Amino acid sequence: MPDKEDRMQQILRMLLEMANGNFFFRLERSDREDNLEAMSVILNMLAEEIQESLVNQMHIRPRGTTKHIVQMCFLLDGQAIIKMTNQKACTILADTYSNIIDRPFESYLTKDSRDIWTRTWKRLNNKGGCDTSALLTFRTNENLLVSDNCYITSFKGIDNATKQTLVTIIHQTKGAYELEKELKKSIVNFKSNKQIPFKRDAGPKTSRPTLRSDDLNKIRNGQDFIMNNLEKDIPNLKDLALLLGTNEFKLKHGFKELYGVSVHQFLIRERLRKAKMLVQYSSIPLKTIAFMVGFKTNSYFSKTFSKKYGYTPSELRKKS
Amino acid sequence: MKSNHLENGYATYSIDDGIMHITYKTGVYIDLNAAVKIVEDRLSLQNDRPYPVLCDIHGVKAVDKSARDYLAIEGSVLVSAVAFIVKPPVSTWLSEFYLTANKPAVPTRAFTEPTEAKRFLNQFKNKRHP
Repeated sequence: MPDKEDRMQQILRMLLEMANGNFFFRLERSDREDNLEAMSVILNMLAEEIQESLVNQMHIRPRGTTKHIVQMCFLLDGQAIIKMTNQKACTILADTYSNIIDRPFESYLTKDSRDIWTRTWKRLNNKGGCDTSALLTFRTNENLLVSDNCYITSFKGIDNATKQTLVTIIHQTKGAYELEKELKKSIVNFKSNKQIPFKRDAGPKTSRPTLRSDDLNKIRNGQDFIMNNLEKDIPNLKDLALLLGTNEFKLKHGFKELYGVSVHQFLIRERLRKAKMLVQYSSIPLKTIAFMVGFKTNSYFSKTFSKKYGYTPSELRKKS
Repeated sequence: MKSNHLENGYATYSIDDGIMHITYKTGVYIDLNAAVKIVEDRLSLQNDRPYPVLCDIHGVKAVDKSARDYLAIEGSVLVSAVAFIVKPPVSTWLSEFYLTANKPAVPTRAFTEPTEAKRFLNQFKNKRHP
C-alpha cells in the first residue's frame, strides 16, 4: 500500500497531467479517511467536470469534424500477451515500447478490471471470432488510472490458425455526445441533436455579446432560477434578464453559449426530465404531472413529451 | 400494505417519522446505473408522496459525473429537502464538491450530527402525510 509520500507524488503527477491538458487520468482510491484521500476525491471529480465541460464547449462551438480519437490499441496473441501497441499507449502508460511488448495485457489493469478482463477473455475464447466491449481501468507506470471503454475484436491470423485479438480504446473528444447518447438514451435523454444550435454557423454572422465572468455567473443564476421554479411561469426574457441583473441580449446569447439551447428550450427540456421520472416511477395521474412540472394543458404536455422522447407519457406509464 | 423498508446493493431505505432514511453501504461506487436504481427504489417506497431525505453517505467511496448529474436532477423528484450525514474528511469534501458543482434542485445541506440533520429536515416534512 503506498505511503503518504507516494500518494502525494501521485497527486502531483495528476496535477501535472491536468496542466498538460490530460483530464482522463484518475487517482486510485483507498479506504483511508485522511485529507490526502479527500483531495483525491476532489481531484478525480474535478478532472471529470473539466473533461465534460471541454466536450460540451466543443459541441456547442464545433471547430472540426474529428469525433473520436484512438487513444491506445493493443494486438494480443492467443495467450493475451501484448504483441504490438501504439506510441500513444506508451505515452499514456508511461512505459517503453520494449517493456510493454511480451507482457500480459492484464498486467496493466487494476484488480477489478482484471476480473472483468478474465471473464471477457473466456467469453471470446468460447465464441471464437467476435466483437465485444468492456469498461476497463488501466494502471500507468506512474500509478495513475485511466478508465475507458475498450472495444475488443478477436480474429484468426493470416495463417488462419493463430488467434489474435485487437483491443482499441477510443477517447471521446469532439461530438462525444453521440456516444453518450447511445449509452444514456433510455435514461437521461437530453443530448438530442435537435437541441444543438449548429444553424448559427450556416447563416450570416450575427453579433454576439462579449461575456465576462460576472455575465456568466448571472446566466448560471438564471439556470438555477429556472431549475428551482420549473412548475411556475417564468418571467419573459426581458424581465428575467432584469431580475438577474443583466440585459435580454446577453441572457439570450449567453444562455445558448453556456447550455447550447435557448432559455425556453431549456425550460421545456428540464420540465420534461422531471415529468419523465414521475411518469416512469410514480402512479400520479398524468394530468397532475403535467401541472406539477408547469404545463398548462395535458394535451400540450403529451405532445411535447412525445416530440422529445418518441413515445407519449401514457405509453411510458403502461410500460413502467 | 407496502413495507416501509427496502434494501438494494447500494443502500438501505426506511421511512420513519415522516423522513426517508437512506444509508449507503460501505465502499459503494455510484455510477449512472447505480444512481438510476437508487432513485427508482426510493420512489417505489414513497407511494407518490414527497419526503425530506436523510442520506448517510459516509460509506460512499465515489460518485461519478453522470451519477452526480442524475442524482442532482432526476434524483430530486419527490424530495422536499436533503440532509447528508458525512464524516470528515472524505465524505465531507465529496458532499461539498457535489453541492458546489451540481447545485441540487432542492434544499440540501451536509451535517456530521444526525440530530442536527433531522432538525433541518423537520421544516420540510409533509404535514398532510406524516
